[in-house]
Amino acid sequence: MSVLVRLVAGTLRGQRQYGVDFVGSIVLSALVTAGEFGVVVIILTRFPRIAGWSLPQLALLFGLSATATSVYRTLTDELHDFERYMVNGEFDAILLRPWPSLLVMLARGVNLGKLGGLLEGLGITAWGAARLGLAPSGWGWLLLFSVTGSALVLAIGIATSATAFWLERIGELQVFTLYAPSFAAEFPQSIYAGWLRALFLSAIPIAFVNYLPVRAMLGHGGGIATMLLPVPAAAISLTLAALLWSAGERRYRSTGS
Amino acid sequence: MVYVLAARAAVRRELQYRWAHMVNNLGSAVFGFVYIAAWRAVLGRQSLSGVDAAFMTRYMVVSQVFLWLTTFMTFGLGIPEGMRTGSVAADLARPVDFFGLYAAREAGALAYGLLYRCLPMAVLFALTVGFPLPGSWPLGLAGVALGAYVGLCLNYLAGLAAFWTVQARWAWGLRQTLTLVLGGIAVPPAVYPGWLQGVVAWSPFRACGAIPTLIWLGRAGAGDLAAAAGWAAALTLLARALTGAARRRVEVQGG
Repeated sequence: MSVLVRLVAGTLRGQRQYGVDFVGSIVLSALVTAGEFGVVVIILTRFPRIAGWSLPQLALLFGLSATATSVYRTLTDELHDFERYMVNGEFDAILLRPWPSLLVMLARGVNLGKLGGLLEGLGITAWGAARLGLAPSGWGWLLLFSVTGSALVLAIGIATSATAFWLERIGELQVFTLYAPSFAAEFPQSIYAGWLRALFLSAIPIAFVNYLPVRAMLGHGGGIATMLLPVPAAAISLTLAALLWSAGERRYRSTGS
Repeated sequence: MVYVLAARAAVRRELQYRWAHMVNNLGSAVFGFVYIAAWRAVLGRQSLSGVDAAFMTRYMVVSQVFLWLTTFMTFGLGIPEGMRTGSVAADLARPVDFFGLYAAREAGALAYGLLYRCLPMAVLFALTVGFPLPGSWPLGLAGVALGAYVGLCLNYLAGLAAFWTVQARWAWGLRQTLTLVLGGIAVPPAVYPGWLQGVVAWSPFRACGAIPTLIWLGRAGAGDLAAAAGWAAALTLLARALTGAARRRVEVQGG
């Protein structure tokens, strides 16, 4: 643990050298999220609901999805670019360290520059919750969903990066496993075709990030059990992702360069 | 001709990754499916300003397919990366036009994108939700070509910001966000609230989204095409003027 703290501190010290860059990244990551939410707001200025969900309710979905994705991006700046380690053979240096490689990759990649998107995600969630007049217990649930949702997206991200041990290049795969699903999670899953819904309940379990628990919380289907479902879902996903990572690690053969 | 050679080199580079791009196309198509599903859920059986669920399905597939020509380009056309490595100094010293060189490289990548990104996605959409052919081929193709050129200019301008700041990503992110919101990528301008329609009508971003899409669908004509051409001319002049200023300002970060 103390090793992890030291590694993260080192990473952050490195980033502090670039002060303006840091502020810039925060603004930028907020900007991109704002644009996406802007489109949803524009649609809802003309139409009151999407599949029965009002704007504050959709804000819960959007905010939780943005929060989870931003936490993933805040924690995994290096892991997200893991193909670079494969292509350039930089992973050798990681293996030389006496700590689990996944841990080193995560500690290296803490990037507070992505906090803009995170703050905005939390802000949009809070706005939705306030507009809906949620009880304190409701806010507590949302906090839990933020944590489990972040863990789920992190698991999907780790699993995607782990495939680099076989595929080397994963940048394009991330569009399919991370970007498109987290975008899809901004809307109620009920609008999607069966195959897409099945995908988001299984291989890319994005439905557990926000749709299933929030729907249950708003009383539209399922009860406490459904609201707790993200906890085991996140635990299982993280375990599977870690297993895939270690399987890939055993298979690793460096590049010739 | 040096520009053709630059473009051809870009095509060869892209070809190395064509299978990876196919996976990306699938992900990109999911974005299209999500928007289509959202619009079908929003509209149901109703119609607003001539916009109904069937129209929005056509709008989204056309918009999504041509995003790869009009919007998704190399970050700043590669200028910020050139500033970082110092290669931009060599490019400035070449006896060819700087804007022309970067535009030609990107044009090569776009030509590749037409074959390996737009075409497969159009086929995928045609097999699933349908992909409409243009109301008029000459107008439709001209709209897309102008959209690609305006997008190229906007990306070039965002990239030029690297001459003044190490933060060119701001400019690039701003362009991306404005194109999404004001360009009409996911929402046809007719559906926008009144005050925003005015902003959209006077922004160049429309030329990268709503104009080519609506012309393709036969809902816009020569007037909008002329507006796109006007923006293309204005942005070309701006790009040239700023290139001159950048040339005097150049300060590479490494190399």
